[in-house]
Amino acid sequence: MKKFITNNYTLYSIGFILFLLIWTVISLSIQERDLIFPDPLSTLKTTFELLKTSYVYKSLGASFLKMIIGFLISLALALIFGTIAGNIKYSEKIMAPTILILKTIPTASLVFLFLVLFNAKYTPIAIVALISFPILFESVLGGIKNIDKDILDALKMENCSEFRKLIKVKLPLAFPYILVGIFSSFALSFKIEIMAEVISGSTSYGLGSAISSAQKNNPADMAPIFAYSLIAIIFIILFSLITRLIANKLKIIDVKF
Amino acid sequence: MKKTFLFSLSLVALMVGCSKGNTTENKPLKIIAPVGAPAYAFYNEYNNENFETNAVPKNIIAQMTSSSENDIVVIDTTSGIQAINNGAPYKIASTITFGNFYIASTGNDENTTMEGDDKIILFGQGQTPDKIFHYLYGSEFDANIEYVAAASDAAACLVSGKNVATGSSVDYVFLAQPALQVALSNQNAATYGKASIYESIQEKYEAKNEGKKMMQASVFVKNTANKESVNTFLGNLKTNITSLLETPALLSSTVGTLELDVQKTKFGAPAAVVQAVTTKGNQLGLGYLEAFANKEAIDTFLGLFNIQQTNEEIYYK
Repeated sequence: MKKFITNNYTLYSIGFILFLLIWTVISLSIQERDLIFPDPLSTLKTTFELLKTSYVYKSLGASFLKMIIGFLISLALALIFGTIAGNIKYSEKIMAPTILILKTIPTASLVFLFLVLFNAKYTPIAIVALISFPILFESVLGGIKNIDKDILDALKMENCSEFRKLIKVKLPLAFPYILVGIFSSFALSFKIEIMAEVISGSTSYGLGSAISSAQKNNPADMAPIFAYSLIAIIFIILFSLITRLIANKLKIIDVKF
Repeated sequence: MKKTFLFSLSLVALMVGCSKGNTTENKPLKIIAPVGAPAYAFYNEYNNENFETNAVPKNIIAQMTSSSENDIVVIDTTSGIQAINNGAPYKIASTITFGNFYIASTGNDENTTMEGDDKIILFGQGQTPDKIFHYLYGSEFDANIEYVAAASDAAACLVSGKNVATGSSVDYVFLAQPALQVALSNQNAATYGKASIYESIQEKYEAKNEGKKMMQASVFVKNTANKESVNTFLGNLKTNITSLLETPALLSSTVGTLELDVQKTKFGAPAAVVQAVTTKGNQLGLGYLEAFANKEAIDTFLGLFNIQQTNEEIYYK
């Protein structure tokens, strides 16, 4: 019995049921429920209705694609600057203020800046790239800094270029750290993408645009907004689970569920 | 010999590259408009990838810079002119929206006449709706005015008959088409069947200004845009708007062919709703007037916002 209660899946289920209960209680305590806080059931009903339309899939796909582009730009930059910081003396300290500023700058300020520099269509991509950069940078840097000293000493004896050492030894050894950084910033990037779409006022396909449009076109019904959010949550959880399962299968990292 | 050939080739490539960068000929015009009534003036561009809309008008103004790729910007007249006064490299060419504001009754007011003790909802404190309302009605209703941030919040008040933020019962709501029609036709609304249009703001404005139109939203042209292309574009725009007002059904064969959700997101309302309000006496307030020929009307409108009279230089001729 104790084993059953302390089982991870049982605990997750209890947490999930508790969450649904709190959601229902809050919803029931609000008079204008549909207007302000729809209950789980009406949210689920609207979600199923939305899932029947192709617009949702196109929007989800567009948001995901934009997020991936931004994320890959960020990863490329993080690999370049992270390896520089991890290999060249003093460069970590020189880069530290920039990384700190990027970590703390309000996202909304960046949205307005990028709106002027680019346009609404590309703003979310730029935002995702810049917001996820410090996390990915630190994971690359952490990975390189945590390479065993003996391995580094052995590398010094090798008669090959620094670039070759980096590609063949250092980055593969740092990879598990980088992967943890990727996983931890992935959900954040998707949230940022959706928020940037809303603030930038983009009207092309995207979950943020869909949420904004739902709010404008039917302001007396919050259920579609909750439903779009639920779709985003389910998508990101499923995506994270699948990628982590693959990583586990390939024995790249060991992540417990 | 080989070096001379390579040098000549690079020189030619450089010249071609430079000349391509400077020309604006044959380049399709990039257009941006806010969702809502002005976007529907571009119903014929529904499939044009160079036509873009934005749900946040302030973001359009923020993009009125010299590095902007937008040759044509549609925005409310006051904001556009203020942007030009602040250095935006654009000129005003024409006005295409002449007021789509209405006061709607929620049906809660028993004597059906707007009076000082009635609760009125206005959106955008200090913005165009607020200024126009006070210009037309003075401060008679100020004691019972409640402000909400956006038109969508005002629509929520009309639909529910209440101000969600304060919980108070609402009698009248200042709202713009097509959001108004969307709210009135919402069958799940608490005010469905009771709510109705109380007064047309543009009619009241014209009556007060000897027939001068409310120059609400205008077309602004970038200084570097190709004049020939712009003139053709403006001619087509005028023809398209005239055709739409004569035959609102044109919407169903253009914007109406898009997915319903795309219609709502890109244009701000379903084509069917807009078609209905256009049929009912052009409630979107669409039209076409050249800006320079109507400088006086523009100056009168800007006067509401304490903006000084416009200089002839800001007009596209």
